[in-house]
Amino acid sequence: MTTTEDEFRMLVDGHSSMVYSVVLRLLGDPGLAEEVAQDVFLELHSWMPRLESVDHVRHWLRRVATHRATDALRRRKVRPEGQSDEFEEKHDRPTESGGDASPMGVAMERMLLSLPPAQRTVLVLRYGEDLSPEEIARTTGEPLATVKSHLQRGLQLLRRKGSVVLKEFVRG
Amino acid sequence: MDELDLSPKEVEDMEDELRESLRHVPAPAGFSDRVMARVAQKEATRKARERQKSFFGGLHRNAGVWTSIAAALVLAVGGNVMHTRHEREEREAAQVQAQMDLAMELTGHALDQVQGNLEKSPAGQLLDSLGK
Repeated sequence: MTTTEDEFRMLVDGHSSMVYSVVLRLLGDPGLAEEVAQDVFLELHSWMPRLESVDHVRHWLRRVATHRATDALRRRKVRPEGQSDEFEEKHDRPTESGGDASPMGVAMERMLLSLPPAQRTVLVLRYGEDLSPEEIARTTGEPLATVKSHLQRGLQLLRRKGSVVLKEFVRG
Repeated sequence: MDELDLSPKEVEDMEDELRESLRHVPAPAGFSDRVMARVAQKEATRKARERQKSFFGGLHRNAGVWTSIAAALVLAVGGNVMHTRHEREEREAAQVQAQMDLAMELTGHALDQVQGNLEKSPAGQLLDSLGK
């Protein structure tokens, strides 16, 4: 796809929310998420001649955003895996969704950030991007069985961590 | 899942909550402007690098021409050096020749004078008369 500057800007405008959200959910740090999301679009600019359609661009963005966020997690060790089994309730931490999330949403965000990155990634792609396990496998480059395993374990861990908290919210 | 003590309805509600929590959030204000500024900066750097590459690439493409020019320069400078050296040697040879000629001339004069003196001396006159 060849694009003019205006067309590329429209692509950025149209996909910035998706890219930023994926990266933010995986990193949990708004500043770092913006930096990584910008890098993704910068990379997109170089890749444009090789992309064939808007759908291709969307798939490419989702895949590269996931990979770059994972790279950033490894690099900066935002959330070391060793701490992920414990749900840390950080009441002083601002919510990533900008403060308009419900208490249940805030708790959910915190629990998500406490999951191991691989499980967090598949949950974000499954419930945030509404991708099927097959699409997630294509996006992350992992085998389908691994994706399904991460999905199941991630949900179990999330449920276990939040069983008490969730009950309070769900049952009102 | 059974050990979690959550009913199917509760699981479903939790998944809904998960979807709700993971809804897209807008990128920070001015995000697109900052991306476009970085794109423009990157493009400017790329173009500058291309210009630089084309300049040096041009030099590389015309390597034959530049080699010929360099060879001509080397020959010209070398020829000039050889010519200068040859001229200097010729000049030195001429000086040596002139000094030699002068020495020969002086020697000739000296010999003429000795011969004149001999002829004017009594011994010379005696020899002269004997010869006649």
